[in-house]
Amino acid sequence: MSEALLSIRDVHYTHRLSGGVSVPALRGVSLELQPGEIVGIVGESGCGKSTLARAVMGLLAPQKGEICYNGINVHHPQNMAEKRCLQQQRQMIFQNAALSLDPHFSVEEIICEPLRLAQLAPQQGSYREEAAYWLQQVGLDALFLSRRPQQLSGGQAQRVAIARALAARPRLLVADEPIAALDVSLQAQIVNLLRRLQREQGFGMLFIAHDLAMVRHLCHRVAVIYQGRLVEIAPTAELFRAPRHGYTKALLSAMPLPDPRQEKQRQPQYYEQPVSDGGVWHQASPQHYWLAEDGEVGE
Amino acid sequence: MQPLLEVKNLKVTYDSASGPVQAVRDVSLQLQRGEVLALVGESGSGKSALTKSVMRLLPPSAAVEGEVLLNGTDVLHMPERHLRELRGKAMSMIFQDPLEVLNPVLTVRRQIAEAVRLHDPQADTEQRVRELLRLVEIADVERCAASLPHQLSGGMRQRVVLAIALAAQPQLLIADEPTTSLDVTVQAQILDLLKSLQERLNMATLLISHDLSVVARLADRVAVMYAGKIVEIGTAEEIFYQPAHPYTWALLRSLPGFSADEEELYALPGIPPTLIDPPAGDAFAPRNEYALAIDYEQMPPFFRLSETHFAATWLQDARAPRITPPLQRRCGE
Repeated sequence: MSEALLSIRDVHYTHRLSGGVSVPALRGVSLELQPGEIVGIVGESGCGKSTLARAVMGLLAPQKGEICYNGINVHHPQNMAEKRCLQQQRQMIFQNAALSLDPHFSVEEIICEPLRLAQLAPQQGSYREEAAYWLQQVGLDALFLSRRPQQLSGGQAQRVAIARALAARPRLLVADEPIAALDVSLQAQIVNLLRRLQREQGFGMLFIAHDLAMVRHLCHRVAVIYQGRLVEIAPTAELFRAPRHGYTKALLSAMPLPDPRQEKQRQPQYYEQPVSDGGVWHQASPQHYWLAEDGEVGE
Repeated sequence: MQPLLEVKNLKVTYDSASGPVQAVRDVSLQLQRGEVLALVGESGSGKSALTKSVMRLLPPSAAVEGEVLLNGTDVLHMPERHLRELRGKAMSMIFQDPLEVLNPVLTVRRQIAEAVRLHDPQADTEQRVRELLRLVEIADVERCAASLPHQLSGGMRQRVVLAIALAAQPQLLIADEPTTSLDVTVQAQILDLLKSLQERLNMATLLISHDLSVVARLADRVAVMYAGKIVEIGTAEEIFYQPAHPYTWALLRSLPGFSADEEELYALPGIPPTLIDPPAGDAFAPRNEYALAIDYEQMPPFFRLSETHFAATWLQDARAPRITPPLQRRCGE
């Protein structure tokens, strides 16, 4: 078997809040991402999607389990070379990109910073041209090069963050709701761009989103997280055609469609059962797995 | 019948560092009692400026022309002291992020009670708070009333905001991206709640959304805005099944379910015009692959396609070439 680009093994993470309160966010999530693969992560807010993204980026350390990028443990790189490799090859686009941009930097500096840190030569001649090139890719004029984050609208900041992540030539891109804040026409532009670059450059991507139509359009496989547990994972077409877990079924039934006649008749199902720490994995087809509770009959 | 809300030839101009911005350019629309009208369009299309002028929430520096009539009463020239009566009782508004509206250090009970007392000092507030929480279909009323906003889920918070908005039984609810920050299952619940409230209370709703699926679920009629103007207006079925304006086509085509090409989504080229010095003709022309020569010179009038359906595009002129809309519906397959 070829080595996975990203391997997440039995990751547990509990948020410890003040007053001794602890909130479990991830309860034993395992997942592998192959090079060049786009895996969508869906689930309700608070289910642990963003926590997983942050754990993959090494921004928080799981209490149990292990996350490896290309065989390098993201929380314990062995040497400087491994550390650099993690720094440059993994990039993240945050849900609230405006907050992820350093207010002291110009847009040009923001986009080129990862390249400079990795001592990568710009592909477009100069760093300035490189930054202008990426701005144009995300639909922004070169006039923005000298702006600062506080002079950008939410959508513009989001696109600068996307430009920065892509300019770094990542091998793994973790995108946490990258397009939720953008207008419909821009969403299409960014998704086309992500898809094109992903094909050209072959990077792997974790795409976290609540827009199921976009997930369906972009991703090769989809992982469903419910109450901090992975409950189903399958190739995209198969998941949408034949969901097995009750939560997945409810989620897909709630997926809104831009069609008034269908929308006005649609009755979403709801699923509120708790998911235990036990359960048995069933295989529905070669790449389609779902978690059944103990005693629940796996058809 | 007199419409509940009537906007006539509304123009809103803001001052900016680079010159006056024409945020709303001659918009007219009507909203009947119990009706849901959705405003869709990109950021900067004038949706917010339009609703803010209806609520009289624009800054004093904004120049407003035209008329806004609510039940026949002129809203734009109403004295300040009558505005409190207007906001809340006649119309009320909910926003995208409930946390920006709710006071983080007051319980839900106190915040709803405040809204109740403001509009009816004699009311039995305890009783009314419970009624309102039941109205927005909160199961455990007592527990919710005693909670602070951060102790509630996103969906619950939006229900609480809705309870506050409904405290004075408004005739018009303005909902600005009400479900954008919620995930799909909660979104479906809130949309269904809005729909049932609007039917039960015969309340009109002005829904602002960039999510066409949300619009499809809730709206009776849809107005598509571009560069400060309404470019197409019609029933939801007319807009989704027989769209006539190339901008509406572009919005629909960029959705995964509509795109003819499974690989690539349609992305509208170019950027919206600056409204500091808008172009003479149709502002959409430079981005419109079907633009005619006249689009660059003269603003298209509204062409009437049915009793309810109007589109401002020269393509509807008798002399224009016939164009088949570039839409291939694949959703719901």
